[in-house]
Amino acid sequence: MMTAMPAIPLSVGANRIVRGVRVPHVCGDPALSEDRDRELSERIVRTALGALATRVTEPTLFEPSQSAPQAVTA
Amino acid sequence: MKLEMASFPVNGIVLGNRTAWSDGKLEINADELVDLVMQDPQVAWADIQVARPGDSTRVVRMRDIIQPKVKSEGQGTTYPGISGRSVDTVGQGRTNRLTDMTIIPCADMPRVNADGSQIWGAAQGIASREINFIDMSGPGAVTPFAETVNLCVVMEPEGQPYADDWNRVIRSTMLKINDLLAGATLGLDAPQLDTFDLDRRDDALPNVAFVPVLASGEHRFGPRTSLSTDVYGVGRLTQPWLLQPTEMLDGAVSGAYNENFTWPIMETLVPYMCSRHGIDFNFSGCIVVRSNWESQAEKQLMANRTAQLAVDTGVTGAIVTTNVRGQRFLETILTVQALERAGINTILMTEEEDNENGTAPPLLVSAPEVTTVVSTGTGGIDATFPAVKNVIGAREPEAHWFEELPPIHGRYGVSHTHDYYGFGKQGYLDY
Repeated sequence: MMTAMPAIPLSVGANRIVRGVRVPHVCGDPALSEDRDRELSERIVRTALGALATRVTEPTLFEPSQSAPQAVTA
Repeated sequence: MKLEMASFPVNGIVLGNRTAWSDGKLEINADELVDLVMQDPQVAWADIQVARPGDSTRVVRMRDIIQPKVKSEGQGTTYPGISGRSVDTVGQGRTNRLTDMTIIPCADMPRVNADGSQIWGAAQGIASREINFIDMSGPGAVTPFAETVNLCVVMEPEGQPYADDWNRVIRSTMLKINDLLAGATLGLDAPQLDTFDLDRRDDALPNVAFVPVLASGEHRFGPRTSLSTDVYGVGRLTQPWLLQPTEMLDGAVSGAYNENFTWPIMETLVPYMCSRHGIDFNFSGCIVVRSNWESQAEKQLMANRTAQLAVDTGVTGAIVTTNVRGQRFLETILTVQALERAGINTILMTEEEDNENGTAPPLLVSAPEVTTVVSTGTGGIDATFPAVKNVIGAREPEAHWFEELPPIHGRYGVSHTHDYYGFGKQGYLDY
């Protein structure tokens, strides 16, 4: 579950939750330059792919801001 | 603040050739009212129709519902800030009101502007529109508006309007009618006069605040949209507003956001809590929280600021309400949580989600701090709505509005009665 409001899926009991940016643009930020926006989108998607590959036992929040920036290829 | 509320009951509206109130009867001149509406060149057609309790009548396409009110003493104007009205602080002096009646502007609202630039939100989609109606009799007559005499101002726009333009026309028209009708009581002795003196406080009683979480239209329609519930005419996403309850009685918080109308915000919990001031508690104030912030951090920040505002003003108890489901409900829960963490005993009053026959939780999201909840139901009506003789709300209402309508099951984006403030007759105690 990729969402700007992680509190809701955490409360409902979704397995894997990835924090997105804002309600109208979950997977990017139009305030950023095109390059940084793409970098951010990629980081969020990579976090989601990493989450899919991670075994979880309870609702778990994955933070794109904590994923390794070196994994991003701009 | 201290406010005197002079009430003039309206048991019936009679057609005549002037506007006058006498002994529970409101005389109106329908031609004069239509002329008033038609002064705006954006209105192509208008009619005045009255929906009375017990009638075989269905009101549709409501755009707002208000009680007619006018200031008779003291500064400011009722429903301040809307349509260019003064933003002078209200809530003091005296207000004259016509009780047991409402003004309901009825009109269609475009979902897509002619230039395709702006889409009237999904919550105003066909499903929502088709079940949002007022039956004046029968099993669906559970809203307070089934018990009031409703003066409906039915309007059609000139050409294909821009949603925000048309909404401004609807609002200003509603307030012109408000000023004319309520103005008929100026200079008359009121059958009932209530004094709300909120400056006098009893130190032995708890200090209770009303904390309505109200959706802003800014995120969808822009910062200066009229398609929003406003505070003194401002509907923007702002930090929480601290208001005196008497300001709310004068309409400081007004304006419809989708099917969330002005009347429920003003005429339910606030006057009731004012009437219990000094008896059960001190009614400390109202903290209006704006919802529809786009990130969880912003929602959390507003919840935190609300709690700090409550602490700083000596509040010890709070009643929190919400007004749109979905992400707005998260803001509501975060507000309850922040208040409780700040040591303020907090009650959440809310509708429930459709529980899908017991398989789904009643609240979209909750928190351990949410310990006391007053439910106002799911808005579902299990009975069939019988066919009606009259439909008010359009020049030529679609045929299906006259027909029998199926029961409405629960919520999930569709609801017959939006009752976030516990005013409907949906419990056994009401019957």
